[in-house]
Amino acid sequence: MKIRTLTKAALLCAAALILGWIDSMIPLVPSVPGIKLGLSNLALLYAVFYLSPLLTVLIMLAKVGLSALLFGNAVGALYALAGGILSVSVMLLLHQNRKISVIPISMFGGIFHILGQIAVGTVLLGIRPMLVYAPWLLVSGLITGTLLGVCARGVFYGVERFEERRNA
Amino acid sequence: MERETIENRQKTNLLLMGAAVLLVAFAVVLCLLLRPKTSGASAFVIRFGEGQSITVSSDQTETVVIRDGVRVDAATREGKENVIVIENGSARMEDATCPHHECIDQGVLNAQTSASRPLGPWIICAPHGVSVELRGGGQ
Repeated sequence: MKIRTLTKAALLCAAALILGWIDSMIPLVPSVPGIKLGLSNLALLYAVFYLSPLLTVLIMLAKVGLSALLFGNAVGALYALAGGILSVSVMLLLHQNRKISVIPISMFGGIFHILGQIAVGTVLLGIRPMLVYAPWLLVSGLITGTLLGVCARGVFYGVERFEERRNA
Repeated sequence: MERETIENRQKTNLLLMGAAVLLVAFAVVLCLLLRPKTSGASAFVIRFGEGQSITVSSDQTETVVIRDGVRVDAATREGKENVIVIENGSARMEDATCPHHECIDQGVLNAQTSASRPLGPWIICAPHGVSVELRGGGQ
């Protein structure tokens, strides 16, 4: 593996960690737990598009593990891990078709992240509360996934222009 | 030729975005149809640990302390702790050691507030796996 790629992966991991920490400080709907912007998904989206699938999965695992150690708890890590595995798998799968742009990939990533968390919630809390809780989470996953996709499109455009100018 | 490719790509992306919206709409409708209905208020069911539960009548006054999935007598603010207070027909999460205290922010649960609360007849502490449900007379 090239040092440049490894450095990129380490930087993305650090970015995901910091964005995740900022995210946890922003309560979107205080009375509904778990609704977050999912800012750290920006770093994972970048990894899906510009790094290998293996590195993307490793960044996600490192982010979940380090977040749990630094700011969270074991149960929080379980929710994040289930959501992370499902969302990264779906995003990598969709990215196999190069026709698909970042916005739909991010939308599906957001939805499947929530579906993973709903699965853990169902195991821990039971199905009855999840039937009330899940609609809020799913709608928030769709909205934040779309917004992040739009942001990622802007970021990717900027990075590509920067790389072009540097290589010229 | 290139224009056709771009149009094809846009069509694929729009179809996928529509599919994402439909998937969420379907799941939300399914949840709304299957969600439990509550009429009146007769008891609060507190669930915790591995399938354990306590039922407290809504006309009782009681403080329930759950620590690490077990009911204990007094709060110490150690471990995974939740303090649930039931009084005057209402329940609230008085205190919790979870990271963001979102369960405390969910406020008071009673027959009057359950219809207007985002989580309906529930108070949920997702990190600790503790929930409080308001159950009606017929349930």
